[in-house]
Amino acid sequence: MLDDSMIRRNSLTRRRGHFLGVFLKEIKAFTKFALGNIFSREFMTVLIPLLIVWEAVPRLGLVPEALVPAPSVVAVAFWDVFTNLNMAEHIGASMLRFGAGLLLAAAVALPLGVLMGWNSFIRSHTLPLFQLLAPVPPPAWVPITIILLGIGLPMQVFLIFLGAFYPILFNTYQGIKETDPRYLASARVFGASEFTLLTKVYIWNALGSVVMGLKIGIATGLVMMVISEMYGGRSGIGFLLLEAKEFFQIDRMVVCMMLLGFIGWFLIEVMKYVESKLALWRIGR
Amino acid sequence: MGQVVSLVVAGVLALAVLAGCQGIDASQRGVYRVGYVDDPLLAPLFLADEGSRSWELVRSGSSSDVGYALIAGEVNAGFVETSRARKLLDSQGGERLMVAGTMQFPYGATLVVREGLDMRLGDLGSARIAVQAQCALVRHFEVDALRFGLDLASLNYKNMPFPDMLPALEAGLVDAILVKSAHAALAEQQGHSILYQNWDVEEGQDECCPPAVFQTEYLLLVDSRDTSSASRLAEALLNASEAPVEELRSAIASATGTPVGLLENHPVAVFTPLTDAQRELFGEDRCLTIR
Amino acid sequence: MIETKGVSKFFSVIKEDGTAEGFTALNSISLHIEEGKFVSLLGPSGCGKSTFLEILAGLQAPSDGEVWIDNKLVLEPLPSTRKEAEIYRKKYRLLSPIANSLFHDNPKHDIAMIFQDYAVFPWMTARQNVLFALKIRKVPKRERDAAATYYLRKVGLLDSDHKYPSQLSGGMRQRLALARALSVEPRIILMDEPFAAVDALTRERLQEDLLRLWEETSKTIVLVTHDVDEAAYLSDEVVVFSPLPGSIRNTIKIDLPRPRRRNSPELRWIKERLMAIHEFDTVHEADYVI
Repeated sequence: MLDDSMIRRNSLTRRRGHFLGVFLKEIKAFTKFALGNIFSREFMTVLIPLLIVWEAVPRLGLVPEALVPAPSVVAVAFWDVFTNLNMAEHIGASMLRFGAGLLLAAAVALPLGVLMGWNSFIRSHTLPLFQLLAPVPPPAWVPITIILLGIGLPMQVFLIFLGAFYPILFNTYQGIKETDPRYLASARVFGASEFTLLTKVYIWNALGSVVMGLKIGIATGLVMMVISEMYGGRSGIGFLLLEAKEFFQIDRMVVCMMLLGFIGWFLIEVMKYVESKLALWRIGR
Repeated sequence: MGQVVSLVVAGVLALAVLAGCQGIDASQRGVYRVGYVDDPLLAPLFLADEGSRSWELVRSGSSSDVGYALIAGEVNAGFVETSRARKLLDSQGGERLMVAGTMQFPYGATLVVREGLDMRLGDLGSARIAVQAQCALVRHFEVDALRFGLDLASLNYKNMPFPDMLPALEAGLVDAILVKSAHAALAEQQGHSILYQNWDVEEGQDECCPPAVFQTEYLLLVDSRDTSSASRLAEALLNASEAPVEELRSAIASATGTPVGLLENHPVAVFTPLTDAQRELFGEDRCLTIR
Repeated sequence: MIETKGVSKFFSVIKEDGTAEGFTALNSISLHIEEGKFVSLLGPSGCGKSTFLEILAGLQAPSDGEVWIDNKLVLEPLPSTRKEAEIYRKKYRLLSPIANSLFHDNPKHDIAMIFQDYAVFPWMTARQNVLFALKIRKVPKRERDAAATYYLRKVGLLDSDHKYPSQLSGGMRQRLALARALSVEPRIILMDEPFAAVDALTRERLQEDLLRLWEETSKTIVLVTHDVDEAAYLSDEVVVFSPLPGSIRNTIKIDLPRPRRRNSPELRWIKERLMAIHEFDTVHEADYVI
């Protein structure tokens, strides 16, 4: 006998099941999106010979085997790092820091960029400050950050924040500023308030720039993550990289490099996928 | 067609890599090159360098860079910090390297407090002290602390590894650090003050006080293909180690720019041949007999 | 009812050698448009009629003169003296004068505007575009959907209401702009060359749709166009603009009953009159004509 509670439960599970189905479908689409480019037949004809050369050259002694490990050696080292060195923990620690820094940068830079792009009064008072500070390369901030914040998580999150902040800020500000005035005019005539304009017109129009800013911010944030891990704290991929270098374990160093490369590639692919989903309205004519 | 192109590209890349990696081996050069870092602990080297010599010093930023120079053959000998040197000996690139001797420095458990903090041993009760957990140092310190009447339970320890201690002190995360005297000398250079020192530490079984090498700061690694030059270097170092302390200190001062006054509170390192325990540790075949 | 009194607009252009040159777009336009009338503003391209329409809509402030819509001033004129400029700048430091309030959606006047390049939002579907306008006009939520459906059906876009503008043809986009403008049921509709970018067949159909809608709802429509046929066919009154600097050349009332036949002799005669005025201007008065 179907009673109300059963019906409600059924619809809830159906909705949850529906969400799960959608989620899995998205994962599948994303995997195809990200890997399709790399595992294409064309690239295989380049990749496989390169791998063969890389394997052969150290083995044949053409380059010192100690300094250039062959892929097979790297693979063994990868397994070693994975099982013996808590690779998952280090990756987790790195990602946590990176996530914190990136989130902080986005939380500050996105609203600030929107405000700066929207209003020229705000812009004229704040933009010059950022134009002065931005050219300082983020690694140059390391010494003063260590002095002010010591070594440890706050320093690392701050450095990552610095790396990701400026690209997000400038791209958001540019995107908002360049909103087509036609859209603004037509919304204003209908009576849209500035707030409605911001949320319904400016931001959507600037979405492409915002995503690009995020992509660049991810890349520079990752650089700062590696640098910050070399200066303090004893966890993370950057730390593993430094340790491997200090203790002459070049195969492990290459493993760390590849891990970092993979993480960077993965994050950018996620952003590209999100962008392609959001830009649906651009496809067509 | 595409495959031919990719093979050609791969071939060109291989040639480029080849060309880049073939440096001239240091052994083919005339002069015997010795890698080092700017550390007061290498006092005998600086003194030996002041006299007539048959080698050339090559400076590096860190001792692992000296290690890489050894692997690549850019230097024939070099001083590498102990733990790294041991890894280097075991690694693939260090096969032809041998240990010719060590730089020894007395161990000395030391408590360093941050500059500006005017503290006596009796005031330590509330201070945050950085220690490496489960180290022989802590045990020695606690014995002495009891003698000075400190309440062990009230001591506020913060565990961290040695490399993190000085930066933590600088940043104010801790008020005092418990280190061996080699690190203490470095801390004093930065302006901090030594509160307490105990020179009677014996080698232990743990990582911070390892047997056989607990007083070894640097290993002299040499290329096994040129043992005669290595022996000449080692001789000169041994002679320099027997010089009066003031000469060694002034050699440090002129080589690294450290003021002599700062060095007077500390002993100097000496170059010694390998002990039996050390030979056993590294393996007989990796050790060069010099005297 | 729209009333403009001596509306002028000048821009100053900085030339290459650094000197400033004044450039008059509109020269003292005084117009009176009654309620429920269909008025065309006719003139060659670049004579300032689009600027005039924007001033009517409150998107630009006139340099001189006033615009009154339903006895309410649209925008105060731009400052002319330095002291006034100071006060003006202080007043509009944070929010520009053409902006509505900061947080409340609040149309200043009951007008809607249709632009030459449609200006429908490409990131919203057709239906969402219409719903957006309805939301700003504070139509209650329950009624929004029904209103959107009604107006989309009126312009024949109900089947494509889930499509994005990039998936619609030019004519469909213009119909969407029309639906959006109509859905808020304004008293006045301003149109800036709405059918210029559409092919002739679609244009005729759209003109007829527009007429039909106007007749059903008795709004005031101000249409800016450079097409004499269009002006003659659609409007009750044609205001002819002269080329730069734009001013009113002449006003011709068209009393022909609707539905008009496009090729009727009366219409042809009106067209000839309009063309004659236009040619006179071109030959005698204009500095240049595009």
